[in-house]
Amino acid sequence: MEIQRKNIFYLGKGGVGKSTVSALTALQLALNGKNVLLVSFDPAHNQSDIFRKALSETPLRITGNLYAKEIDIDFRVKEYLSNIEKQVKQSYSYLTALNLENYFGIIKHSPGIEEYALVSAYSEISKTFSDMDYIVFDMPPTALALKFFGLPELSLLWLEKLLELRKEIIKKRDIITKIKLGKKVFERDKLLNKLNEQISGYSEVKKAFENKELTEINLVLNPDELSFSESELIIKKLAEFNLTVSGIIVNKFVPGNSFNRIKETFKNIDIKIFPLSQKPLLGLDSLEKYLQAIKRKESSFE
Amino acid sequence: MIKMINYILTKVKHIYKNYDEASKQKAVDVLEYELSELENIYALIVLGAFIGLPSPPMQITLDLLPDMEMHLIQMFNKVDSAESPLSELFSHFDIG
Repeated sequence: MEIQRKNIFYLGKGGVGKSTVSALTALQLALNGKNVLLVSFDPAHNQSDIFRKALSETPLRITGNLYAKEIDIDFRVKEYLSNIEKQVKQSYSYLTALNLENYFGIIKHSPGIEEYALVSAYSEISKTFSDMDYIVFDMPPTALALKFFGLPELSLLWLEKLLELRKEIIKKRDIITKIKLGKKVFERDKLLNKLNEQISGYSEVKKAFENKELTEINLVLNPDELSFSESELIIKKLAEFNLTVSGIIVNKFVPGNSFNRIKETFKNIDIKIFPLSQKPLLGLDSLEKYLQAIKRKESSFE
Repeated sequence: MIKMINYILTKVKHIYKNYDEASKQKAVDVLEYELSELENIYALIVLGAFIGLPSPPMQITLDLLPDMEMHLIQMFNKVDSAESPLSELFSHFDIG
């Protein structure tokens, strides 16, 4: 299980065991002496139950050099919107701000806000915990996870078009000033600056996602038809964002399950098997025991 | 005679100056109209979500919103002339 990359993501269909696989990977890496932070992006927040510890936004030491935290999406959305509202109230005249106030209550339910909260949490965590050897991300179910990976690319498409239009506006404004005053006057355009800031932020995230040395995207699936087809869909969708899946974990595998189809379909992807545990994998002890057991069995599956 | 020529020259210069300024003003008026239309298009694209138009991901709009008061006011004002865009355009180009 030795992995030489920094950010490890686990995604897959709801209920396949992403949280358990993330917890096991993080624990194994920590047992190997690495500094690991396990981050739950899943609003269902199973890590608290798996480790039997109350996790929050502040990283909690689980054992040795393993830390874990859970992202509170609702809190982050609320904080982000209240920050924007504050800025609007500061820079707008009273009446315009008053008209907009009603919209802010609705905006928190707008599509796109949740994935934005996750992308901004990802950027913040990558910067704050740069001293960690590994950051393991337990991702939300497929729909939100794919939106998370697609947001930088989609935002950049819009931002580049908006930047083009803004530059055209500035060019026209410069011509008018030159005719009126007879000379070119340098004017700072706040919107242009903000567009450039956003472009640089999203480009950085996109570059990090595409960098295989820094990012490892893993798929968790069960040996059943539904999670198999959803995994195929995830790989196809990620390819649209120029992202590739590095590994597949076949979780809850029972001897006798067909493995050939998975092997044939995902030919160029590293596949690992996590056998079905007879006992629920809850608490540090049972996780450690399971890791020892699969280490012993690993060779027999290869 | 020389006095008269000087007088005529001054008048010609004056007329030319006025004509030049008027032409510049007209050119600037057209450019300013174009600029206000571009700003309006920009506002419609960025703030489209507020009036039900397809728009960029919400966080792009929200990040730009604090610096877009002028655009919002312009959008509200545009509502008055939205019913007759052609007459507004013709009046700017002195047509009719």
